Amino acid sequence: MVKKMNKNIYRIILIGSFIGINVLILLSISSVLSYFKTGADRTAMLHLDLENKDVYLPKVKWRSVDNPGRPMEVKTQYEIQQDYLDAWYVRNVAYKTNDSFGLQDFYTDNARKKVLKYINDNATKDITIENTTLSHNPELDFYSADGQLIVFTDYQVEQFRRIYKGKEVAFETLDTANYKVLMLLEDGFWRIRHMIKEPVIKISDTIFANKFASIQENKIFINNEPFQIKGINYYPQETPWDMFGDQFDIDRIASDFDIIKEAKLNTIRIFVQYEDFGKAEVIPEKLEKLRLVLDTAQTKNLKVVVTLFDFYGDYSILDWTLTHRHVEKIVTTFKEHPSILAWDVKNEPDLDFEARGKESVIAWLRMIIVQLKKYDSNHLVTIGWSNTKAAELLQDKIDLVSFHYYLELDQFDTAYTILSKKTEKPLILQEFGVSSNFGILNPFGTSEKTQANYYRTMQTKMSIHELNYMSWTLYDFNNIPTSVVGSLPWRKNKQKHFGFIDQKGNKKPAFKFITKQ
Amino acid sequence: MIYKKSIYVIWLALFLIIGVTYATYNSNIIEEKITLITKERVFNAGEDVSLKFKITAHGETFLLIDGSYGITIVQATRIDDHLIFNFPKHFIEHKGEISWELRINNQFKQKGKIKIIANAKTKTLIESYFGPPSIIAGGRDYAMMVTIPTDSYDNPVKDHTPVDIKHQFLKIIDEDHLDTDYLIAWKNIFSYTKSGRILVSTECNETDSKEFTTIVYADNAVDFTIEAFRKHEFADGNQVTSIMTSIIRDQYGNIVTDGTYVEFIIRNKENNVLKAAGTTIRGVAEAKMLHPDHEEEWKIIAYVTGMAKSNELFLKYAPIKTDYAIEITDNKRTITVGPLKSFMKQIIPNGAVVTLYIYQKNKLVDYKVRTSFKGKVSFELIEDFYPDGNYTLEIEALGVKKRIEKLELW
Repeated sequence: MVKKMNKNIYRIILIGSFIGINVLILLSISSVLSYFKTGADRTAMLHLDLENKDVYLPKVKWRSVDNPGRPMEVKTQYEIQQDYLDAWYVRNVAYKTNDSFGLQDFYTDNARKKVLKYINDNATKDITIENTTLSHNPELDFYSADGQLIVFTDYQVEQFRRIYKGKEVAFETLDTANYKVLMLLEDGFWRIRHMIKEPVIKISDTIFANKFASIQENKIFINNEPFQIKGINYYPQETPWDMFGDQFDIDRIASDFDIIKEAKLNTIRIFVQYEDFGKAEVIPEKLEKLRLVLDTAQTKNLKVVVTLFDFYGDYSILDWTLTHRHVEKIVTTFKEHPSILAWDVKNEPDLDFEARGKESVIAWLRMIIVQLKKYDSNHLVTIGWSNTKAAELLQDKIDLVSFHYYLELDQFDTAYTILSKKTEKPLILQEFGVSSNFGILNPFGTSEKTQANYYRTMQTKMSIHELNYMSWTLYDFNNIPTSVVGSLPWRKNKQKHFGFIDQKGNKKPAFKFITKQ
Repeated sequence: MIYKKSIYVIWLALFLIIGVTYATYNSNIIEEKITLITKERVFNAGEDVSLKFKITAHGETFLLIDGSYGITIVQATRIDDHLIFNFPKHFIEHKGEISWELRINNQFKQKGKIKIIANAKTKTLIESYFGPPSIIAGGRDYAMMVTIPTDSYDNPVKDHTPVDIKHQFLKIIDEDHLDTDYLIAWKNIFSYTKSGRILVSTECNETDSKEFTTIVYADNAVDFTIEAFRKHEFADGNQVTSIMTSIIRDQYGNIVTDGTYVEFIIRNKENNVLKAAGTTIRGVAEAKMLHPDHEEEWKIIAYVTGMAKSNELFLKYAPIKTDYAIEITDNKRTITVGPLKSFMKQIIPNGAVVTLYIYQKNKLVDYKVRTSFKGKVSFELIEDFYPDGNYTLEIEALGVKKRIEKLELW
């Protein structure tokens, strides 16, 4: 009996494996066949259907396309610009990876040989380079009659580079150069044939600033009157961390502004999320919503601190130009808006130091501020550091020093004094507060009464130091998106109870101390 | 006395101490001093470039160099208190500015610039682009010669280098002396009034390019004449009339390109339009039309669309003036027409068109078209289609109509 069973098992295994192997063979033959049958389309040779994804968007401003050869067509100009930027991009990637992938599409054979020498040399020396250009100002010198050859000079090419020796950063440089470039049209691509670096002749742009607010001796002045920020971080109660989404309701926001105004506050802080606003291609509808909010704040006589790049976390050099286009679009749109007090470049960027590298984050911040000020010299600029220690960074680049404070009350004065000695710029306590999350689930939490006491003490400290402040936040929230504090229920629950007004719309005891009574 | 001596000794000792301290202090300052010894700032491509610094400080030294195609870091060779940085070969081969920056222990020390220029001592190479490959005669159209002379390291030669651009056309051989500017030298070669082929070449620093060529085609056609050729003038529906253009030329007398499309528009007596077309060979286009089978008058104009047209040609086709018999047999269901005869009473060649119209109660119920064979055409009225009854038939052949009233089929 057992013998027969065994025999049957052997049979099943034999037949099963035979069928299995056959199935595998058939599958592999069919996949080989289908691979050969789905070959490249003939039209692919013409490069007509290349999908164009924007990965590299430095600022390009043509100075002129006048030339003695042939009038430049708008379409060709666009194609040249695209291929020229792609040429920079593939070279940047090549220097980062020391791999020549993609170079042949944007460099002619001879030019490619030159670039390859650099790559090979760097590879043997174990050098890698992260490279990005920030602005290009091409001026056409010549466009041939048959439309196959162009020569142009690219003026004031701003270039940022970080050079690694092994894994260590050896250098960081930001410089400006002019390049004379000759490109040829070969099988549908404009390819670089010659590229020559030339000395820069400095051309300075005059910027006329129409300042809405100014800084005099560590005080903020508006219309020549000293201005103390008494503010609050604001999200609508229904849509925290999604202020400009589908449920955007300007009437609701307007009535919230009334509450804020009646509480004798004068400033709000709002958040613009990088991805939500469309990254490099800022979505017009979102800008319209932001404009509505700013206009409403203006009618209620509230100043606004707009925090940009919320939830952004890449910082890599090859991603820079995309963020530059994002900030350009937003700040140029609102550079004349009187209700904006300051642009806050990023909320708590120091929290990304560990994951992304302090150097990367600082370099990105430094450059984004340069870009921001280039497009909007009217408004003040700040960075929302998460603590007093980090707030010592990059002071020379910003107008206001913002920091957040969620630590023990009794250590505030010491932390503040240390920071205030290290800066001459106005300080803003940009976020502070305590969650009244006492309950059955959290017997060790803070009660609403303790929260009120916390604010009373803080208000006293604020008036002693004459400090600008913005508390966190107006409302208790019902739902906290997972992206804010993670998915752990006790963390989410804590974040729900920072408000002055509870989930049912009643003012909590702390409301009395939302500002100095 | 001893007391005095000891004071001298103390003073001396003091001086010594101060002096030594001062000297040490000074030498500290000297230590920080870095001088670039290399005087040259401009180098020929391909020649060795090294920067030599006099320096006493120790530490990890780097030179950052940034050229036309890329950036790298170079390490120094130290000989006593001299630091020598040899530039990598590929940097010194490529024309353009190289900026450098010296850092010691990652501290910025000095920066500067050198320039690599095209090496005029090496053999010049020429890369040229000439296009388009064909142009139109008459001096309005042109082809452009663009030439990029480089040194043997593939660097465009310095601006204002003389370049000769030469071209030949028929007996003309011309030479233009130009200077390079923005890396290139260029020249528009305009067409002459004759068609033909222009050969172009360039020369720079005694290097000659290969031969380039563009074909000069005739300019737009100008008005021309047409002529008809036919075997006879009778409307026999059988012979072919051919219509030919004169040699079509442009305003300079060049024969238009072979294959120029000519359209012949024909208006008949009823003002209907007939069309024929031909393409030119050595300037002549030809179209052919079948003779009409009835008396007709044609007015013909030929066009090279949008450019030129011909005179109006008038053609008249005479009627054959013939008669024919009609035979009705087979219970009146077979109608035989013919024999059909042409202008000399000869049996008409096969293919003359005969049409039969069938009416019933003054209403056209059907018509049939046949072509002649050996001068005859026969129609059959099948019972299934044409039930018994009274019909009126009408026959048209060679422009002659005949009518058979009230034919009773049974």
